[in-house]
Amino acid sequence: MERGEALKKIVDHLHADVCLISPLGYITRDLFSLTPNLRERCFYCMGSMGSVVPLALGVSLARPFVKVFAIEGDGSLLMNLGSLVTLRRYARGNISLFVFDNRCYESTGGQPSQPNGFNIEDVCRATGLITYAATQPRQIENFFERRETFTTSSVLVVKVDLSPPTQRVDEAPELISDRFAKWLTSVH
Amino acid sequence: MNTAQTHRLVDALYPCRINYLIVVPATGLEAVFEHFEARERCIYATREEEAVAIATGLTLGGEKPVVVMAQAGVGNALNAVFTLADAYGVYFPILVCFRGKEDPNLVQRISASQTHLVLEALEFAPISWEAASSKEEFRDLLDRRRRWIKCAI
Repeated sequence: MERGEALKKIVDHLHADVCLISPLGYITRDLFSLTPNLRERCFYCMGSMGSVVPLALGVSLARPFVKVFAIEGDGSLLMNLGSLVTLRRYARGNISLFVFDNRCYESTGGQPSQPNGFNIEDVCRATGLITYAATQPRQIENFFERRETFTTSSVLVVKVDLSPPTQRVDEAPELISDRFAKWLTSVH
Repeated sequence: MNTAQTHRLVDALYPCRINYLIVVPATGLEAVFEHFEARERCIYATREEEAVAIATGLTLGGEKPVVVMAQAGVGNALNAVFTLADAYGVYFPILVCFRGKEDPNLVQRISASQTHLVLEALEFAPISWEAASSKEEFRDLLDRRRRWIKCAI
């Protein structure tokens, strides 16, 4: 599946009470291009690889009425696998985690991130998180049609192909965080 | 940390409206953990950078967390502090528990010595929970948005 198409499917479900946190690298660059009118609800990480899941957990605990979409790459998630256990332990149901799995570190030249036969969705399931996998755009739609997507903390592993990124984030990080915090505290 | 010091620490957090404790367990602060755990406001992280990211998210959402870690965890935390909390201007205090240079564990003595140098570069603020004035000192450090606070245990 093409990464941009998969991201667009997720952005289409950013309803009024939903925010999005994305990881450094190509995913955040693509999302920055796809969300010019949704800036206040997006936290674009430009560093801290592996921190999206715990960052999203903190946001979700502070704002239980907000639904948090956390997007991670497979390499980023592998950097901080313990965060899945913490998510399983403390999440209250208002996080959906999307793992964009291209099986490599694409932005550093495509070095492999996983051995043959390894499936990152098996790791997510082993922590006890409800986990699905999508290889086609329709399966992303199916995920959103499931009631538990909006009532439990569930995971969708999205299998994506390699593709060049779009524009870089050209906003100051403090602007991104100030705007995001203001939006978060305005939702009741 | 003895009982009086532990109580002093807990008592110092409330006037500062600290309402979440994010921690990778550190020796000597069990009573502090239990205090927050009883209120369902203690989160045990699996690693220090994870603790920093959770605290960043809580702060963005309007909560007031404190991160507590052992000296040995400082190195683990640095990337998340630099590229998430610091870069995005999200403030919360990090309390580093030092076992001291007299620790019977040789490796921990080396860790204490080396980590002290790192914390010096980060312009840490020391605090002693033995002093009756420590509550006011702690509040002052938070008012001045001091990130790294070192305490002996």
